[in-house]
Amino acid sequence: MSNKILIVEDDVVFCKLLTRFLSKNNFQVMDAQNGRDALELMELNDFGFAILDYRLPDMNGIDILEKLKSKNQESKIVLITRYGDEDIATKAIDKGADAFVSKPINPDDLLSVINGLR
Amino acid sequence: MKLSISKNVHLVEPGDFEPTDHWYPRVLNSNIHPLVSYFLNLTHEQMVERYHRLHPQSDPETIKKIMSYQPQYFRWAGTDLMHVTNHEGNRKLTVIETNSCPSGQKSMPLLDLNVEQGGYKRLIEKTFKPMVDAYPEKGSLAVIYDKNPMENIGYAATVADVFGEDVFLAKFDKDDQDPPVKFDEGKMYVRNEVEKWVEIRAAFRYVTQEPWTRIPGNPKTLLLNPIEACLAGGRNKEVASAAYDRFNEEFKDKGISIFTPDTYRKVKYSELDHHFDLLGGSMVIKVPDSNAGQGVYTVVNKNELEHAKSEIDPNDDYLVQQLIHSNYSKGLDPNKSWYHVGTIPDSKGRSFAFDLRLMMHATEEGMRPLAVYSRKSRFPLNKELPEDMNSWEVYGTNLSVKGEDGWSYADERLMLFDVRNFGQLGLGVDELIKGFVQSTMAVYAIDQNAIQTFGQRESISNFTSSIQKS
Repeated sequence: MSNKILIVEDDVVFCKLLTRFLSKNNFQVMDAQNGRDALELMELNDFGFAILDYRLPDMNGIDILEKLKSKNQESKIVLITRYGDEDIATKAIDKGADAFVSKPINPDDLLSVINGLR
Repeated sequence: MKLSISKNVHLVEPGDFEPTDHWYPRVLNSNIHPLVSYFLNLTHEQMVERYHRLHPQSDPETIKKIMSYQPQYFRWAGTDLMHVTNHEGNRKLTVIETNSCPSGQKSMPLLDLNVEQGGYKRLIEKTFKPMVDAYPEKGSLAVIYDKNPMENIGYAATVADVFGEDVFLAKFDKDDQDPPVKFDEGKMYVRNEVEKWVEIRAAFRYVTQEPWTRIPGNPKTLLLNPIEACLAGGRNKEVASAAYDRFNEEFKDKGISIFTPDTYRKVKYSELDHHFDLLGGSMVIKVPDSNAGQGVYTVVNKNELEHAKSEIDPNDDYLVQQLIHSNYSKGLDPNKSWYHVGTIPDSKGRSFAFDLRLMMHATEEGMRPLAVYSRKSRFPLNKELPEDMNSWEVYGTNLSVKGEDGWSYADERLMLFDVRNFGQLGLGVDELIKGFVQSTMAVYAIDQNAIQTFGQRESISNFTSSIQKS
């Protein structure tokens, strides 16, 4: 499985910090702050993993999830939800998400989830 | 670290500081120039004595008083200066602007290789912590910001380390309709992971954009810097200019003054043509609260004047300054004209205009220099400007570049004060001392203006006066 990972989250600092953390853990990380940029990256790359925020400025994480899965069924997808978003998490699993994690994100815990999907 | 405890809020924990994330890559591998290190370690007494030797008419006691002054509002500042000369070759460091919430740590090589957090730590340990320790308010600590995540994550991690507690890192964006920061009766709150508001006792503020009404004056939460520092001139060139004039009037008998290009305030749009003629066909037009090189127009001909006028609001007032010229010309007034000294010519004979950013902070002993770097212009001073090129390319030193995907910076024009770059600037210790003294005077002027405008800063006046007495 490719170690290439896509982070889609509109908070630049979140992307910066998580990129740093995952890079140190031997992932090749790319990030996008909106759905449009994420789709562009998906056209050009094959991602083994994706970490998708549900709430994005131009679309939601489940839209991206569906596109990613239709391109590569093997991609492992973690959806990030907010406190109280259980319904969204359930919907995401139905649509093919491999896991979901709720904010706040502890990077070590997220890494355990990702490694568990290999 | 806990990411996204709520929208645009992260919780930074002790031990989270990562040097590679808080300096430009080029800076991580640089070594500070020995002259710069020497300058940064000079005592106030050494600098006062040297400044007096360079400016014999200046009163050393007054310079010492200003250098050891304890600002109440403006305890962290960054001055932009330019190295200029006149017809007779008298060189000066002239103040272009003084900023509250200045950037600069990410461009500063380590002064002490054994202190991994460099200037971040000096600022938090020697300026922020003593203020917070002397302040009785309850609550957590926060860093609030609206840009420059590279430095602000670094500040949050340093605050966490220095205080030994978790720190909220919250983005306070001017366009955010539901920001994670709020003030209630002067107290600041940050939204946490269960959508509850957490009380903040003290915050490091890197909020650089209007509207300033987002942050109240005289808050219960201790802020470095408080908003008054911006309003009194730290983010308004017009107000700062008036403060400099008052300073110069007050200290004219002491042989010291803040050097700035000749400045005209509250110039109406309809008066710009008149000022263009008055200044001999060149000038700089500034939007008073402009920032990061935006809203500043260098004008060297009618076309550029018309272009500038087409970009600005006809209903506003502007600050107009004389242009610091690129090259000597016989037609210019020998009593008033200033020229860029520029960088040492490179192997192709090109010399570039540059500025010098000097970041300072208030410590127990008074103002101290903290970080310093330069930025040079795109096009050389001593080559003929192509007809289709704007004079900003010769005079503008800002590194921000606006592209299709947002803002980036022109790394190749950043001049570090390291072994490799510093010599190219042609500056010596004397110029750094002159620049520092000019900067302390500018900070003094703006802080005094804040006190006159807003009154004593009650929350820390006991703290500053106890340091001053000791």
